[in-house]
Amino acid sequence: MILIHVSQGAALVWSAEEARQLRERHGLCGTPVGGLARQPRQNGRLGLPLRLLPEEARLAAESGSGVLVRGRAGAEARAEEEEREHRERAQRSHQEQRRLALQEKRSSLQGLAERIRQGRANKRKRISGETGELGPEAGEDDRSAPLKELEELERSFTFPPESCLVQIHTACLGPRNLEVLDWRSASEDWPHPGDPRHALRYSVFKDLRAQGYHLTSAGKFGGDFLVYPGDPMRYHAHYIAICVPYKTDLPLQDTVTAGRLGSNVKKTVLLCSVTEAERIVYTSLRWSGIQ
Amino acid sequence: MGHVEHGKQILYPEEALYLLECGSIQIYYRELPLSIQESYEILLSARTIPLQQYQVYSHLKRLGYVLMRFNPSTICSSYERQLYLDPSRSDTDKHHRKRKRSHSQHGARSKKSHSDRSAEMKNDQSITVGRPQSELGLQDATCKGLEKGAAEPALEPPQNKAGKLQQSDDRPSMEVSGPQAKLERTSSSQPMSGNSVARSPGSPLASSVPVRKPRWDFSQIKFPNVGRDCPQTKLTAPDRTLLPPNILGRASDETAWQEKINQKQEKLSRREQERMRRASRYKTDVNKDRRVRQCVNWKEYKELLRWKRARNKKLPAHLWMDKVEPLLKPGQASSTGELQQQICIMQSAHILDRAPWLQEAPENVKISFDVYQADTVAEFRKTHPGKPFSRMCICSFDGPVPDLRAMKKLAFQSGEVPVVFAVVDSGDISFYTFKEFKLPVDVCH
Repeated sequence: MILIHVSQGAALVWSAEEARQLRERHGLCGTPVGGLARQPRQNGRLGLPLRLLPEEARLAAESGSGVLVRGRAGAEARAEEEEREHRERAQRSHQEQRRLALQEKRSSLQGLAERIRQGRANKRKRISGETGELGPEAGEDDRSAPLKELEELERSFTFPPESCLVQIHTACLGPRNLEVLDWRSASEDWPHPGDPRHALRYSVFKDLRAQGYHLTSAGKFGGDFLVYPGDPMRYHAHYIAICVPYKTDLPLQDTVTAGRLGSNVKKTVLLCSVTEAERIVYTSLRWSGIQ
Repeated sequence: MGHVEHGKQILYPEEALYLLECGSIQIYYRELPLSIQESYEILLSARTIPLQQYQVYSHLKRLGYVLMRFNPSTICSSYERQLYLDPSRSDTDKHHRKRKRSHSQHGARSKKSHSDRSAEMKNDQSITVGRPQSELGLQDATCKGLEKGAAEPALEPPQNKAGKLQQSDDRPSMEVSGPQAKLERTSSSQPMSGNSVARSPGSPLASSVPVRKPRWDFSQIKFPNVGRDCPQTKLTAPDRTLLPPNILGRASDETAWQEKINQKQEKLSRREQERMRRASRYKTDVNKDRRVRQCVNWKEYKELLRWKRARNKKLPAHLWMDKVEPLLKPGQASSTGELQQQICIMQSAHILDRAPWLQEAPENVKISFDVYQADTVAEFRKTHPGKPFSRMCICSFDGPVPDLRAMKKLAFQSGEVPVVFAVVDSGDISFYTFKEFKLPVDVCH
């Protein structure tokens, strides 16, 4: 059961597994809107959460594969043990990291031990050469003796808690109080039911999805949906779907605008309507010659 | 990003969320760190900012711009800037030092209660020297409006209105207790606050966005006519907003006074009498003409003049006697440029025409952010940001396209900075703006 978190009309999916499921099994692509964890300061590829169109969320809820939820507002009394657990976890993480850092430091020192000794020997020679007498450390020029640092490493190594790596979780761990919303009734966080425009768009969406197309939002192209023959990552869109109510007058300029736009971006414009008999009808606009 | 308030560094919700997504901070709530999902749910809600606004914010931040929340009170018109009245020129606080880093372990603690309310009072210029403003003890940060606005003279009421509206609820003796405010400023601000409550009945008392007082519209202000032809003896009290603050106006009946003026006969000197006699021989009184006497008002007199002129000129009847007549008479224009100007039906308009007189109506679209380019040329400083690159309004494809009235209001609110519309469509953002354009004139005479 895929959890779809709704807030003020926006539907978000926070789990990577669920987002993948939606895309691969149900053909609902959505758009990632969060920052990508490894490369947060770029706009080319964004990361979780995945924002779904209202029609996608409704389709998921209607088909039973997803459920609309909302975090229950209200003071969640964080139990004492959660804090304790968190502190223990932090402590364990700190110790683990310290151990690993120590290990790393030791191995790097061992690797460089030879060079360090050599460097020290050179320095001693240089100093004694200048002053003209043998320094007190002349007797310690013994290749096999381990470095002072290695012996004292355990003692002198510092790893304060501020240097720890912490993980910022994307999705929420642990159980939460969630409230299931009914996708049929309108509420503050899910205002779409009852909106005739939403109903029209949803019918068109459902029909096109059932035919196997993948749909995404098309605000940039002046339409309602972009219709892809397969996964949007692999294809270019073939159609721009514009939903119009049945038997309404469409101004000629709007038709010409849509046609022009479609021909400029090499996509066919689809005018979609729902008849009274609940049938979906499509009209395509195509730029053609005189005949 | 972030600002200092009461000695602490405070982030807005969108700033905190962006830093969290970048991995620069960790947000703690009740001693536990929040995941990104929980932060989204807590920091983006109907009470704070909508998700769309955060999407635009993070998009622009990732591109490298510097964004600050829009504060309408910092805008001043070009005229005010000419008079050196803009707040950026006021003596900036000399004691603004870089705040020492606090040694708290876990970065900025995001304050929930502050984030939505601290948004409105983001006026960073502080005239008083280094003293924290919190001594007045109000929980809200709204007191800032009064003290920090002390640089602007009494002509600039708007930004203090919201602050004073709220203060008049909490503490009537506010003006006295404000230690830093100059004395003449407080005395003038007191009737202003009463004024502002009376003048803006529509705006709720908790309105946090101070509105600009419209400039005087002289076509609406009536001046009484006490001339001899139309003696107006009962004078009504003038509108309180037109008078200086400490002066009261009242209605009066001037019949007695009017009877006393113009009593004395004019004593003409001999030369003037001569002149009058000479003139009466050759000049005729306009009123001697019977037709002129028949005219009741100016309109009819002008009609009469036109008729007289037309009678002399003998213009072709088929052109001039019809309902539709030419715009110009032959010989009326002296040059091609003047001719073109006279036959021009559509005048070029500027978007700020009559913008100050627009009714204060509530609107869907508001300016949300100032966008600054972060390069060395722009010289952005938190205390002295300078002129922004553009201002952002956020809307969505579901909502209506802003009409001319909304555009004018936004352009007026923004001053000389272009307004950009960021339209969010479930993940994609498109930016639209209007550019100034002048039709080319053929002949430049």
